[in-house]
Amino acid sequence: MGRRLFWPSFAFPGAAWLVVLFLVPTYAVLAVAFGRVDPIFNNPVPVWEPWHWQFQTMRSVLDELRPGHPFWTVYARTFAYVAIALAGCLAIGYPVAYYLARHATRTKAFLLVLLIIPFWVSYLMRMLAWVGLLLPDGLVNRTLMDVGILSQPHGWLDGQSSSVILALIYGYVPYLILPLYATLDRIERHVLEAGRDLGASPFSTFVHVTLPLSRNGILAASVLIALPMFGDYYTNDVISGSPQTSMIGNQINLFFQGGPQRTVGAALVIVLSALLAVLMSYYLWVTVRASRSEPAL
Amino acid sequence: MHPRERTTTRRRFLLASGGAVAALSGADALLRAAEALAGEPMGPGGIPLARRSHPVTLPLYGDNEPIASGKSPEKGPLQVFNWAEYINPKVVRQFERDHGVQVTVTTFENEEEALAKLTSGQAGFDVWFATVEYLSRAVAGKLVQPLDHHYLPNLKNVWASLESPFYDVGSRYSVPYTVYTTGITWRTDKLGAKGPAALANPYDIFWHAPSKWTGKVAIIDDEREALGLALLHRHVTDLNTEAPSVVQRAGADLSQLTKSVHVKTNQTDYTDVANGATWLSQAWSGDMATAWQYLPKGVPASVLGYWRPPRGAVVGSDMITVLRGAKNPVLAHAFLDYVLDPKKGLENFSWLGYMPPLKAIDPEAVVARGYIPKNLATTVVRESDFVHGLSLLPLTTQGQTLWQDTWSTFKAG
Repeated sequence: MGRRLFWPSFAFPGAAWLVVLFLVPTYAVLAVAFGRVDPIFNNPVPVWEPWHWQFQTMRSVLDELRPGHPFWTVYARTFAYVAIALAGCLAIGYPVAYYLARHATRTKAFLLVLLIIPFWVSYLMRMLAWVGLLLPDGLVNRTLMDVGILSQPHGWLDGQSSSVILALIYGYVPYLILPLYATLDRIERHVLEAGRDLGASPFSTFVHVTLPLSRNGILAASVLIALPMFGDYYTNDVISGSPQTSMIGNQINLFFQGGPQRTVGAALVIVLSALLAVLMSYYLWVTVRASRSEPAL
Repeated sequence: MHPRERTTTRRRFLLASGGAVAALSGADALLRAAEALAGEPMGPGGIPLARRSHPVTLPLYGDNEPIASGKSPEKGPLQVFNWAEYINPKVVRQFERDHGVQVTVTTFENEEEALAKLTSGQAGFDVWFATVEYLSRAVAGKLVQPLDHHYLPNLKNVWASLESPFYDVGSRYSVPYTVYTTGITWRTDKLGAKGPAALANPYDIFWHAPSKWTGKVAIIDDEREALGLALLHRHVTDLNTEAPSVVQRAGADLSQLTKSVHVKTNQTDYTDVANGATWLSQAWSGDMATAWQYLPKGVPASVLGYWRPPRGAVVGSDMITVLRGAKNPVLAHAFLDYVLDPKKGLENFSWLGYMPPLKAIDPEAVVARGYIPKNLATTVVRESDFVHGLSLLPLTTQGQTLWQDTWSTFKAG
C-alpha cells in the first residue's frame, strides 16, 4: 500500500496548487457571476450554492454577444488583435529560436542571457518605456525624422490598432522564443542529416523535418502567450487609451473597477474562459494525437 | 448599438424584476419603503440622494456615536487612507512634528477599491479621503463616524457654502478638503489662444475637431465626467439625469468622437497636454494648475490653456472623514483640523494644485504670488463657482446601471 502511494504522492503539491490557485478561484468567479451585489457598497456577494444562482446577468451578457452588439465588437477585436500579434510573434520569434538552437555557437549563452533580460523588467514598465519612445518628440520619431524617413512626427500613440498590436508583439515575444528554442534544441541533429542524406535541400529539410517536429513547440508557445494576451487590458490602456482599440480585458476591468454590475464583469470572464477552453481543447487534442502517432526520437 | 436597442438590457432586467439583484437584501426593501414615504429618490441605505435643491442631513445611528469631547489625542501612529499624491508630504511631516506622532499614508486608485478595502474590516485606517458620491454609502454602511466639532475649531475657516454643505448638512461626517472645476484644456500653440472660448458653446469643440486632431483629443476616463461633457454639448444641465434617452444620446455623441478623432479616455491630461501627446482634453482644474511643471524644458507655460464657464461650471469637492473603526479618533480629528488651517491649506495647494475651500486663501493672490501662471488663472476656484456650479451627484442603483451600460457601450468602440 505504502509503495503504491509513494510515486503518486509526488503529484500532491501540484494537485494542491491547482485546487487552491485555479479551481477555487474559478469557482469564486462563477459564484460572483451568478451571485448578487451588495446594494450599499456595490461589492460582489458571491453565492456559493449553485441552486441559488441567478442566471439573468449571464443571459443578458450572452444576448449582447450577438453580432453588432458591443460585447461582440470587443470580443471580435480581441480575437483579431491576438491572432495578428501571435502571427507577428511567430514571424519574429521562430527565426530567432531557430538560429539559437541550430547556428549560434559561441554567442549562444550571451544571446540566451539577452533573451532572459526582459523577464527582469515588469511588463508594465516595458510598456511605459515604449510610451516614452513613441511620444511625438520621442526617440523613435526623432530618429526617423533625422534619417529622413518621416517629415513630421508620426502619431504612434494616437489610438491606432497597429500600435497596440505592435506593443503586444513586443511585450509577449520573449515568452514565445524560449519554449520554441527548447523544442528546436531537442531535435536530434542526425534526423536533419538523414533528411539531407536522402537528397532534401536545406529548405525542404526545414519544411518536411524541422517544422513538423517543432509543431508541438509552436502550439505550446502560442498557447503560452495567447492566453495572457486575451486577458490583457493594460497594453491598450497605455499605448492607445481609445475605445477604438478596446479589448475584452478593458470591458472586464470596467465592470470590476466600479458600479453596481460586478456580476457582468464576472460573466464576461466566464465567457472568455469558455472560448479559451475550446482553443485549449484543440491544443490538447493535437498534442495527444501527435504524441501517439509520432515515433520517439 | 444603444442599450435601448437591445432586446434585453441589464437595466430593463433590473427594472422589470424590481431590482432583482438588489432586492435580495433587506437594505433594498428599506430603500424602497423610504422612497415611497419621502417621494424622492433614495440612495443606498435609504438615505435621500443629495441635491442642491434637496440638502441632506446624514442620519446618526445609536450604535455609531461621535467620540466624547475633551479627550487628549492618542499617540498614533495615525493611519491615513488617501488618493495617491493627494496631500503635500511636507504637511504630513509637519503634523508628525507638531503632534509628536507618526503618520502612515496608504493610497488607493479609486473609491470602489477603497471601499472594498474598508469593508473587508482588516484595514485599520483612521482617516479616509472620500467623495460626495461615496460619503452617503459610507454613512449608510456605518464605515465612518460622526465628527465632534469641538475638535474642529478650524471648520470656521471653510467657505460658508461648505461649512454646512448640501450633501452633509451640518458637516456631521465630513470636512471639505478640496474644490475643483471640470473644464477643457488645450494647447494654445495648436488650437490658438482662444481655444474652445471661440465657440458659442465651448463644449462643442470636441465635436468640431478636424481629422488632423485624430489621436490628440482626450476625455476624462470617468463615466460621470465624460458623459456629463456630452450632456453639456447638448445644453443639458441636469448632470444627474436618469432619463435613458438623454443618457444614451450622450453615449452616442461620445461614440461619434471615437469615430471622428479616436478620442482617448484617460486621467493623464496634465502630462499628455504638457508633452504634446494631446492637444485638447477634458480636464480637472487641479490637474491643470500644476501641468506647467510637466512641460518639456524651454516650453513656456503659455502653451497651456484652461477654460470653464464663468458661471455654471461643473464643480466638485472632496472631503475627509474619520473612520468608525479608528484606533486614534481624537488624533484623526486633529488631523482634519490641521489641514483646515489656512497656512497648511496654502502649502497643500502649492503642491497639489487642488484648492482648499478656505476663506483666507485669496483667489487673486494665488495667481499674483505665482502659485499659478496667469494664463491658467481660470483653474482657480472661487466660492461663487461652487455656489453656481453644476455637480455630479450620487444616482440611484438603476441610474448607476444606466450610466455604466452607456459608458460600456461607448468604451466598446
